[in-house]
Amino acid sequence: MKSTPAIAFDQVSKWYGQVIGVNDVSLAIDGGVTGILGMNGAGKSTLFKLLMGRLRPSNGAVRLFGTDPWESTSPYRRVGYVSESEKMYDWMTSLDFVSTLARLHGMTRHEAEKRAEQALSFVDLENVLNKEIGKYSKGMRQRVKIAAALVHDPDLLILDEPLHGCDPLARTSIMNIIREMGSRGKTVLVSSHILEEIERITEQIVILHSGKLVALGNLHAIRAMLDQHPHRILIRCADSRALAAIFIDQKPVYGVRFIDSESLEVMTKNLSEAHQLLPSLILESRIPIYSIENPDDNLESLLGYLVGDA
Amino acid sequence: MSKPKTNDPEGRELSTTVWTALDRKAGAIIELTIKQLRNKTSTWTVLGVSMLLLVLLSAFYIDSVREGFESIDNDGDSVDYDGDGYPLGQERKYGSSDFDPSEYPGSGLFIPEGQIYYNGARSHTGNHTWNADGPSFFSGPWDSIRLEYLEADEPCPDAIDENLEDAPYSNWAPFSCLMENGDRYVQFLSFDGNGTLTVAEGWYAVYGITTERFDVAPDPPEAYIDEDGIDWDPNDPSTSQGFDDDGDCTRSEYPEQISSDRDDSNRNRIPCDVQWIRATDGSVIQIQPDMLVDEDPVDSELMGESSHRSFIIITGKIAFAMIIGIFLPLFLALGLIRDEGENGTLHYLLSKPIHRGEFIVYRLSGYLIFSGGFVLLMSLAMALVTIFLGPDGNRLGDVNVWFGIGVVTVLSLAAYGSIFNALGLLSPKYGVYLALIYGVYEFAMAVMTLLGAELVPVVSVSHWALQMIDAVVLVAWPDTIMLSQMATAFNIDSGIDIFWRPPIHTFGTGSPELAIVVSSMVLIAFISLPILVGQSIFKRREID
Amino acid sequence: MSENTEADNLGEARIEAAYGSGDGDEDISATVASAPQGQILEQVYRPWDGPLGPRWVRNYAIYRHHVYGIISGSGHRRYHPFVRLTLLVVILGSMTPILMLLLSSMISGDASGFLNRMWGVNRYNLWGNVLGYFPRNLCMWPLLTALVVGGLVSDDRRNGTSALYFSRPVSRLDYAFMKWLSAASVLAAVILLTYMLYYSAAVVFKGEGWSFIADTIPIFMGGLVAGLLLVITYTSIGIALSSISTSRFTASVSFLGLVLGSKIVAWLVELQFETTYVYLLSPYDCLAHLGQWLVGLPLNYDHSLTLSIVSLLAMNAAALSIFASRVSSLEVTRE
Repeated sequence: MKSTPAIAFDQVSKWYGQVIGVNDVSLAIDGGVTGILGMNGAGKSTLFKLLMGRLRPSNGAVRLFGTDPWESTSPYRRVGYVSESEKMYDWMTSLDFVSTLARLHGMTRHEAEKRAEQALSFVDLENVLNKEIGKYSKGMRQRVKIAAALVHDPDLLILDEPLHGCDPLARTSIMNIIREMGSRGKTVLVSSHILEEIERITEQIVILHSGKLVALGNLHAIRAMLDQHPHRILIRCADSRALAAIFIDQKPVYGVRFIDSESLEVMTKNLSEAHQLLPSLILESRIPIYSIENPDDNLESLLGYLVGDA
Repeated sequence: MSKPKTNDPEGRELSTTVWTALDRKAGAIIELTIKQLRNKTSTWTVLGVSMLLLVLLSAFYIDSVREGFESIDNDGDSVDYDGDGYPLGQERKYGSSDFDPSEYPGSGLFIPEGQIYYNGARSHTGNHTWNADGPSFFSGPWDSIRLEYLEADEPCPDAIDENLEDAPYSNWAPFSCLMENGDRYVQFLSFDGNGTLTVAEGWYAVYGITTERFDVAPDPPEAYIDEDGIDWDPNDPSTSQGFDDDGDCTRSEYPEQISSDRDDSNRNRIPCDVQWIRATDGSVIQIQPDMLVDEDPVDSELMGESSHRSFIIITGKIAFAMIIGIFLPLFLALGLIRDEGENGTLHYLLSKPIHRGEFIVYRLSGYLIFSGGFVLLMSLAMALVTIFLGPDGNRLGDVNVWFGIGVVTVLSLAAYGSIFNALGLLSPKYGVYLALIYGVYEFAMAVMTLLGAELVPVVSVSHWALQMIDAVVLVAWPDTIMLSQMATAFNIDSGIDIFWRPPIHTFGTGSPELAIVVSSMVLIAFISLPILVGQSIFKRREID
Repeated sequence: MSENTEADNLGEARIEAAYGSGDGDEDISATVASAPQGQILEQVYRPWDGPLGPRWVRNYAIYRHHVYGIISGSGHRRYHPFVRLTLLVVILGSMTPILMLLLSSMISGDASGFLNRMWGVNRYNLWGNVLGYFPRNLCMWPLLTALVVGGLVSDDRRNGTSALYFSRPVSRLDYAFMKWLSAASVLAAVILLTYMLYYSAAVVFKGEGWSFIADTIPIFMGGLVAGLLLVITYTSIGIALSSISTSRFTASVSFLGLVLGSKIVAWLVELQFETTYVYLLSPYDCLAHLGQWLVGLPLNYDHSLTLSIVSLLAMNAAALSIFASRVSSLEVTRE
């Protein structure tokens, strides 16, 4: 059963008229939590919609457990899908909602209700499962959607922007759910446009940009490769000139730039080395520091390096 | 069979086979659809309005049952149209006209001798019976007997001058007045007098003699209500039956006044009879009366059953098939799939292992169970009303007809539901507008079918639905043809001959059962074709 | 190394999370960093006191927005292509008598006389051009009203676009009245304009003189008033239905159901129970009754004209009061 990967894209392209959504993507994923990273419009949702048979690839082949999802709905029994859409049946209770969707997998009413209760308590909603969804907060709604996707115990879980619009508490809770699913041996796909979010869930990532696959694999490995690229570190301190004088002699630093008397930009080609070095130097200098930032440590600049048009 | 049958050939428990799983999915979607419909305010508004409509009709029905059926003058012969004191019925017996006040029972016959022509001499003198056809002056004494109904000595209004330019003839009514010089102004009048009649330019008058007159006492108008009942013996195989009870066809009272023409408008060479044509099974299929025979039967005996049936038929056709049948789907079925797509909730259902084609069918079934349940409930309620309040007798037919109406309406609901859905799937952008226009089209076709059009509305669901109701009625009440024929033949104002006609789609056999089969086949085609079209479109639809 | 990054980012991450999220998460850090000690900005509300355009100009803008969309889509309220198409078909359909008159003026003999008798100007035809049941009041006017008026208010309720008006110097009365007026003008443009065109065509094609005009103009004016009442009544009922529903199609279907349904039910009751009182519930029949009186036709309803007029007034009053109360309670957000 595990001989075919859960997900396989073979040279898949998808055009919306003149606009290209996904451009020649080849990819196979099986097992573990994988983060799909990309800016808005990078093609993450298109990729998922292709997987869920909602869109038909213009080119290439999509396989879900070895079956074309556009032609057959049979692989859906092993898939749970959390869409980015915020819309739900607001007038239903979450128990009703989840058990109705469970019954679409062919469960009996009783079985569906039991499973729905389990799924909802798994996402910490057991206390409110008889309340109407319309009265839920955004984070709760997101968790109801996840429960609906989990209710039939799928082998593959696809989550499109599950953290979008949630408060920190909900984020943490959803991240825990995703990690838990991963540790149970499910294949989980999570999309996001925030690197930091994905980083807290998984190390296995796929980066999309303008519909193209730009990087995939272990986040650390990718990072390490990117360390060779120039990075900036922004430091706000009491005396930027004094600090600059200390930094300029260090090996990983190849340049400093004054923004004003209290801000300093340090440029490095080896980010990790610089981060190991800087704290000790600052301590020695005894110059008060207000903040240290890595303005480049987000998806945008990561992509900038990867695609080379930052 | 010693082993209990809980396992299928592959050894799985029966509760887990593909078919039962399919049932569960269908159940889930149907249930979801019904819950959704239940949750919309507009659903309850529409159902409420439909119910109010039926309550209104029932109230009228109950009111009319409570009042009973008054005797009415079906042929209108109790009215004295010309104001000479004799009702039409009495004038008919004597063969006199009820549109000429100078002609009445006993007024004698006018035999013309000469005339003042349009463009000849304008006046004539003599002792005659005069028939002035336009504004004229008469000088000399005249006999006022024939002018009793006019105010003979009324002075003329100022407007009449001697040149007759401003004569008040515009109202075309008999009129006479006395002028200042003692002459008389007359128009459209017949009178006796010895003198000179001068006729205005461009008009015409006849003079002659009148035969012997006699006195006839005018009958009261009441004598001409329900005066001629239907004389028909179902056990008499003869086709020529019927008897002119009141004598207005045979003119029984004064045969010497009859010219020659006793009425034989049904052309069976027997004057003043009614021709009853029966089918081989003995049921009456056509009734052709001669004019004025059995034309004013006793209403309370005949109206009850006919008008009861016509109430059921028209309520079934208009309230159920047309209003509920067309507008309920417009409200409820239009958004079954389209709204899900618009609201962005469709993907919850489609990311489950259900084929999209099945999905459409389950959605429609959910809508149909909800709306069809309502319709059947309403037809049951109406059946109870008409059974308990209807005329005495075996009212089992009512149940059958109401059930038939319910089924026909459910078929229309299904047909419109699948058509509107297919339109919505065919073009997400234009579909709803198309559905709206199609709804109006169906309504117009229904009106045409109701008014008896046979060819134009064939390409419409409503035509076949109404035809099917006609057929159901005939199956449940085989004598409806006779009642309808009687209503036409004897002027019974029950409406059954307006709202009900024998079904036309019988391939010439006249068999209502065949009509039901044909109509339901067509309706099923109207249901299934759009579903198939919708399925094949929906299968290829990308859902963004 | 990633631990290191996370430590460095801790403050930023926390602040970012607290700010919520969504698009633009990436940019937040810069804003925060510039105010390290925290800062409370003084909130001063300064009302805008520039000169306002006169009220009619603002109202005209609303009116124009709703009417121009029929012809050009850009910048105006969009009329669905299908609505425009229906509008065109209805206009053409209601102009068939003009075609017939043209035909009758071009040919001679019996056929011409026949065409003229069928479609020429007389009381029945003037009444029928506005109030005839088939096809005008069965297929054309109700559908037209349903399509034009259906989404007028319900779209605003659904999309929350009424906020665009109410956040500007536009009173609810202006909003309501301009909506009403724009719908009424579209209907009037179709119903009354084709009616006037028909009359003028009859005069022109037949070469009629002043005496004909003097004779027929009172009848014509009667028909015009009847048409105006029809436009007013249909618009009011339509807009009231539109204001109580959130979907334009619910409003359209309700309007069609109301107008077509009440008429046919009243007809049913008349034929079956011999009373014409139910016609009082049908907007079309009240209008037709009044119209018959206005053009001087024999009235073919048993009940008195006064009742029809009262019912018509009541319908308009009820519709407008529903509309007014819905507009005054219209949420400024999406409903």
